[in-house]
Order: sequence, then structure tokens, then C-alpha cells
Amino acid sequence: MDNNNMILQTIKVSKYFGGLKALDSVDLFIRKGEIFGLIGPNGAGKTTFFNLLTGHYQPSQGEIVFKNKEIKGLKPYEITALGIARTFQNIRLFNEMTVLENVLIGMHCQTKTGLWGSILRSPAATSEEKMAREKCKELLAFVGLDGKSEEKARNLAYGEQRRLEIARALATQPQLLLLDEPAAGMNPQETNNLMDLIYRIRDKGDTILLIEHDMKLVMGISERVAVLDYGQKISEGTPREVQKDERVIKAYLGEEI
Amino acid sequence: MLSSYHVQIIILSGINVIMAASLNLITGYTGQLSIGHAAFMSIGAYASGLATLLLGFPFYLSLFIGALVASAFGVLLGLPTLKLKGDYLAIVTLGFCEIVRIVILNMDITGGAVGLRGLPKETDLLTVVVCVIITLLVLTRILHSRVGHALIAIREDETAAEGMGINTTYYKVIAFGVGAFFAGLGGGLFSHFFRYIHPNSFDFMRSIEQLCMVVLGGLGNLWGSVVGAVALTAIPELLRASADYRQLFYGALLIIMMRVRPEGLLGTRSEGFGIKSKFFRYSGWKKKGEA
Repeated sequence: MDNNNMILQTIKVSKYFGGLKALDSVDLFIRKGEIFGLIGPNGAGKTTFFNLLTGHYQPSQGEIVFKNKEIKGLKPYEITALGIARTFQNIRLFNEMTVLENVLIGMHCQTKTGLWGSILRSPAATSEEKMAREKCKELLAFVGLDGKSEEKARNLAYGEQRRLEIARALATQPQLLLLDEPAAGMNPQETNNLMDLIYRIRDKGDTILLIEHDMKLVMGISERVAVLDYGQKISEGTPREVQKDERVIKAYLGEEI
Repeated sequence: MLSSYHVQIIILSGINVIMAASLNLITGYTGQLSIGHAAFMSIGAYASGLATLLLGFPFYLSLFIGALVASAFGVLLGLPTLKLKGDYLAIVTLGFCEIVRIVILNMDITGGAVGLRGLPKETDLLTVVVCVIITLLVLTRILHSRVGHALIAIREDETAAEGMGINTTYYKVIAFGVGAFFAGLGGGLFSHFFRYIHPNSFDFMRSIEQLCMVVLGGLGNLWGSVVGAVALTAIPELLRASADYRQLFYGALLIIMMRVRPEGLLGTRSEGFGIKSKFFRYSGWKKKGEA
């Protein structure tokens, strides 16, 4: 396979919690610029897989290669700086901060002001702050949250909080964006808006890895899909191929009697 | 004009404002529960006192040295312990406070149990006011910057903060380093005001007193710390007759504040940033509708 075209590859990645094999030898590769869906029944190991990619967990075995660089052993903040950003399944915003400040935090790696810069309020710090705020406003407009920038994050509606999480992740300027069930709890209208937003993010040049239970969304939007069940990858391919796969049907619906 | 008694109360209030504001940076803004803040005050008081007495440094240089030494200990304490969270960190800070007290109590250079005596009286009203202004100005600037946002993000959600590219350990060490610096400054002002310091002046109860000021004013509210520190310095003076009950008063105040107004007098957040649950694991206090 062409290495230049590949942004992320996992090689026999496993994660054990004691005797439980949460993930078992998962091989996966994701191409630059594609929308990749990761599905599977509850407890299949999808979020664990995300946590391995972002460094929140360390793999028990295997390798994770991002942009031709082994990222196993790196801390989450280092991985974010390299260009992987995520949203969380159970929304994890900085609730007491304003919407704009939440996105500003996402800009952390893109900005440099340190302790002395902020105490002395150096010209560099001031102009950087201004630049960052402008950028954040653009991002908020991009996800459709302009006009809400001074509200506290906790006061946003559910769907807005999901979009704020995406804006915050985008602020880190990721090349690979991991979305963990972004449509959970959304109504059909919100889900449609989300689909549109995901397309627009992809068109900006980002690669998207998506965990989702909403089959209409994930099958409609993904170019390729992988299916996890009990920590193992049981199928991979285009949405059409995966939907026909016997093992997938079995995992979701059980065996015929 | 102000009588010397009033000046003394104002100076003490000022020192306590510095202590409360610096503790607020660590506990209120960064969310790291510290119940050993007096240790940094103690280190600053002794370091600056010794710089004046033994090395003959001028007052302002001594003050700065005291703050710097305290800051170094803040970083030193920070590095190995900041992987700890909540209760565990609180216990370590408590232990640190006791260790500092006992070490100073048993050292010759510090005067041991006799205390450190014969310091010149250098701390005056103007110095304290200037120090308070510098403290508040520096803390405000930090808090409104990229660094401050990172600190607050750690308090709000450490996992998410890390996921956004924040090196949480580094920023927690910064919080402790800066907090300890100003606590050391407060200690230096303290020692050069009373001219005599004893290890027991900086015991666990002083740490709790400082925490009370922060909680009363509002966790995560700098002006709250000013109000809390001034109130808790002035009120006991008004109630001199019942001074024996002061510590009882602090305990009761903490409990009442947590129960009635966990966000503090000037705070805005209803849950007091979860500090309430860090202190009291009593489910009966959870709000209605909470799981």
C-alpha cells in the first residue's frame, strides 16, 4: 500500500484489562481525507480503540503509526500536538467557561504564550491572544455557534454542546479527527446538520474516524466501515459490503435459530 | 489618623489577602485541593528572615528570596505528587505542611523550638499594600491568559484538557510554583512584621484558616479571596472576647458555607467546583435530581 496516502495504521493492537481482552489484534488503516466509520455492538471496544489512539490508554500489544510515526507511549497532549483530536462519547466540555473560551483551549498547541508573557502582557502575547480569538470565532461560525460565544458552555442545548466539542477539537488543527458517537441523542434534523458539518470538515482536508450507532448516518457518510465485536475486527469494507457480511449480521442480530 | 492597632489589622488583612489569593490559584482555579498552604508561608517567612538576619540582605531582597525559596519548594512538592488527585493530593499537602513544621522545629539555624527572633520591623502599611496590588495584578494577568485558561481547563475536566493538548502536569506545577511564590511573599511580610516567628505559627490550623478565607469568598473568584481574607481577619478582632472559640468558628463556617452557599460569597458556580464533594462524601447533600 502507498504509505503517503495513509494517515493512520494500527498493527495488531491489543488492550487487556486484567483477563478481559477489550481489543484483540486489531489491524486498521485509514487513508488521508476519508471518512471512516467504526461500528459494533455496545462493549465491542470502539471507545477503547479511541482511547488508545489518543494516548489516554496505552496498548498492551501492537503498534499505532500516525503519519509514519510510532505514537505508542506518547502522552495525550503530545498526540494532540501531532494532529489527532477527539470528541467524547459523554460530552466533556469545560462547563464553567464560555463557549469561546472552550475553543480557545483547543488552540493551546497553536499558541505559545508562557507564564512570563502573560504576566508582562507582552505585545507578542496580546497579538497572539487576539489572533486566537479571531480564529475561534471563525470556528464557531463554521459549526454554527456564532452568537453564542459568550454563553457558558453548560447552558447550551445538547446538540449545540456536541457541535461545540467538534469546534474545540477542530481548534487543535487536527489532521485526524475522532468523533465518538457525535449523533447520540440528536433528533433527525440535528443529525442531518451534523452530516453536513462532517462533510464540510472533510472538504477542508481533514480525515475523520467516526464511531456511531446511528446506522443511517454512519452508512450514509462513511467511505469505508470497520466492525468490532468482542474486541476483534470482524469485518471491513464499503458500507454496502459490510451490511451484507454474515458475521456482521450475526453480531448485531444473533444467529438464526 | 489610623491608630497603630488599626494599621496592624490592615497589614494582617493584606498578608491574608496574599495568602488567600495565592491559595485560590491552586485550589479555586486549578482545582487542586491543598490544605498545606501555610507550609509555603512558613518557608518564605524563615527564608526571608534568615536572609535578613544571617546574610544581612536588605528587606526587599529578603522578601524576594523568601518568595523564591517557597516557590522552589512548591515546584519540588509539585513534581512527584501532582499525579495524585483530590483527597490524595490533599493528604500529601497536609503531610508536607507537618513535615515542614517539624523540620524547622528541629533545625538549629531556624532557632528550633525557640523560634527566630530579633528580626527588624520592616513591614509597613505601604509595603503590604504594594505587595497586595502586585499579587492581585500578576494573578489576574495569569488567569486571563493562555496559561490561566489551561489551569481552569484542568479544574473543569482534566481528561478533556489533556485531550486538547494541555500538559496537565506542567501546568499544575506552575500553579503550585506561582501559588507558593506569593505564599512565601506573605510569609516574608509576616516575619518582618512580628519580628518573631515560631514553627507553630504555620501549622495545620493556619492552612485551614486560609482555606476558609478562599471558600468564604468564593473558590475561583479572586475578589472573593480579598473579601474572605479581610472578613476573616477583621471579624475575630471584633470578637476578641471569644477568641478561644475562633477555631470552632472556622470549622462551623466551613460546614455552613458548604451547606448553604458552596460557591462562596462572590462565587457564581453552584457546586463550588466539586470541592464540596471532595470534602464531604455524604450523599444526603447531593442536590435533588442528582443520581
